[in-house]
Amino acid sequence: MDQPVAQRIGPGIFVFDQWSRGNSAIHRLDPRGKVIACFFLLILTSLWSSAWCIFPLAVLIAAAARVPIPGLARRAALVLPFTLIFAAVTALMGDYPRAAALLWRSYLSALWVSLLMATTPLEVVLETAARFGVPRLLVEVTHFTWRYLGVIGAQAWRLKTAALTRGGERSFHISAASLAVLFASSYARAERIHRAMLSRGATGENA
Amino acid sequence: MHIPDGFLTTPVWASLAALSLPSAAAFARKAQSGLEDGRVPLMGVMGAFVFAAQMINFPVGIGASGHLVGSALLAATLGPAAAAVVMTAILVIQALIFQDGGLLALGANVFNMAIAGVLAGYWPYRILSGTRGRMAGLFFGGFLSVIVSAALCLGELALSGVRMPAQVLGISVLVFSVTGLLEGLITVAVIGSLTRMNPRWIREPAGEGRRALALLACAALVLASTGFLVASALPDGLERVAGLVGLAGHERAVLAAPLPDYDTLVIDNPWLRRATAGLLGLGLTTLACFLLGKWISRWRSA
Repeated sequence: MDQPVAQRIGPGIFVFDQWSRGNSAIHRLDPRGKVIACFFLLILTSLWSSAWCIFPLAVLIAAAARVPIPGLARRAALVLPFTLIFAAVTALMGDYPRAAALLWRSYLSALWVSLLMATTPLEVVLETAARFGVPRLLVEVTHFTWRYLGVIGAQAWRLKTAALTRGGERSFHISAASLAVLFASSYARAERIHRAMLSRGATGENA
Repeated sequence: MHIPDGFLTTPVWASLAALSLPSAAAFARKAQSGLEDGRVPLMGVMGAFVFAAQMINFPVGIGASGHLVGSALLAATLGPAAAAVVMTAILVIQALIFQDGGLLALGANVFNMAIAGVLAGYWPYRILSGTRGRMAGLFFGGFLSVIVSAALCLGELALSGVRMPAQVLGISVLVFSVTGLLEGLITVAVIGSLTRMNPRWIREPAGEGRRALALLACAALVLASTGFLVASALPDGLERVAGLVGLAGHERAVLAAPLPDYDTLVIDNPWLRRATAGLLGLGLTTLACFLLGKWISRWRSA
């Protein structure tokens, strides 16, 4: 409750927005090249059984892009809770090499994706995906989802706070009603957004 | 259950990506063709809504609580194609920004949650809509969407060699059943509130004649995913299925050709032969139903 609103959706969700506006040689590279490089490194990591030895490369890229390395390491660590459960179960079954591989593989892969997102703004990544043939509608919906995540998230947080002042999220029924209210206001907001887009002359066939 | 990178072997993630990519594109085309004015902002805002909805906890007694997953709710309000697109957009953002699910594993996650999850959430509603069991359809939809996604996820992990002992698998199935029940209850409660506020928000599925088809497809999906999970609980059998269809379970065999002892394997293993045949049959049935449905709908509209 003492965290800022956006942090409730996920810790530090806008940190990539901040990092990706940097101005290093890596930031200025062609986004298509970066996306392809990211996939290449991901596939290399998943295929090569001693790919852990390219860990220093990630540090090198982060340093060249002047992205804070501890922060980046923390972002990539978000993958670990899921991995740790499976690694623990695998280790309990006696398959230690596989448990270790799960840990370093998933962490290194998360590091590659984080590096891409720390050096390329999300909208550029999505545009690049569209140029590679990802359906336009999907790209646009993803844009909108990201754009309104903070807005609807803040609203959900206000609803939650209001429920807490009334005595907490005590019943299933009240939570369902809150969610329905959130749905209704999101629906109305979408209509307002659409009208605002039209009034500003949006002509996109999809709009 | 978002699978990160590094869990799935190359054949598993690559084949699921090859399956999800065209399916997602087909759903996008379908959603686009049925696109009314202002649908793109609506779909985007609904994506944000599903994210934000996770903040609202649903108490289930003794201090425990759950939250909405959303596939069934979206399918009932936006229609299945648009719901699949919105769920895919959510998974893309989760993979890129939240490190929740990998980028190579995105195809698998999209298949489990945005395609199979949304269809499993939609079909029961589709079957029972227009009858008095409409709310039961929504409940089963919510329940099945969670169960099917989880079963597929665990099956894919097992196919990639990430196995769990039977007890752990049993516990996780129990946990997923509870999550599924909760999802069903939340979906019903929220749709109930929404119906009171504005019935226009809930889509009544159009085209009454294809109910039997939806039932068949739903049954096939549930059978296939539970069969998949059961197979993954029997490691030996699964390993052989994996070898049989060329999905070798170990890293060093990633690019290896299908096993040379293919013939003996099939002959020696009547159970396996039946299981493979069963799965293949289910797949073919689903395909046949789909084509038949397409043909009937075209024939009707002609």
